[in-house]
Amino acid sequence: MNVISGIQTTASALDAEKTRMDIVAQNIANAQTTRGVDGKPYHRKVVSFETVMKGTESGANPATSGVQIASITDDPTPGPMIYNPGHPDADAKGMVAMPNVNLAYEMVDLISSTRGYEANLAVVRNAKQMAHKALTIGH
Amino acid sequence: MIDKLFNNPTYAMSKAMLDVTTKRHEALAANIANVNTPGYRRVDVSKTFTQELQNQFKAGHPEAASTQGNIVATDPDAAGATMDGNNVHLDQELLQMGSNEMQYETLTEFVSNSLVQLKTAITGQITP
Repeated sequence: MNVISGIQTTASALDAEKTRMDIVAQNIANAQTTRGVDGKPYHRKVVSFETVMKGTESGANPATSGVQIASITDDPTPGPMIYNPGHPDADAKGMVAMPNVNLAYEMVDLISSTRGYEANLAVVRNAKQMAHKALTIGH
Repeated sequence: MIDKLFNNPTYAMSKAMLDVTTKRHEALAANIANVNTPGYRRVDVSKTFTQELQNQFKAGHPEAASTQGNIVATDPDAAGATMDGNNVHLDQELLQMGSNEMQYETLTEFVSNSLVQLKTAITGQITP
């Protein structure tokens, strides 16, 4: 039994949105990384969500599901090639392969993720208020 | 004799509705948690359960309301989905959650006042 109702669902959502924000930060930080660990330019990471049933209590309802990260995959689309012959990673023609990080996409993801995080914080506030009120029964 | 003390109709109805309100909060929390999940359909208290609860209220014993399925189920007539199949409207969910919370506080007041009245009647003293 949870004192604050729905706490596991909301906790899963806060965790997932936070991870998504971390991935956006990683993408933006590596927007100019032409040589990664494997020697190739950085590929932006894409996060996908899926619902998961938080069924740790008996009689848990499959309809009230939390959310988790399904996968963090590389975006395979190639990035732009920039002409920069002085660059240490330039190939024979003087072209440098840049990461496929598009700032517009990342900012939209960041805004959407922030909005989701704040909404779930509002849910927790509400649930805590309900729990507080329940404690005042009889007084 | 003790049972009859707690058979006040308002008290019984408030108790039943408190459980439903808590379940509704969990449903709305699940919706808001999945606001960014592709393909997610919103859930709410099922219409069959609401109907049955109303029938039991009219019949006078609300705690007997149960349902074959679960209290919370996928909302069949929720409005339009976005391209990825997600039909959660965040502002609507937050508004419903706010009014649900007010309903919970109101019901808590009912229940609390019933008990305080009972205590006053038993002890003969009025507690502020």
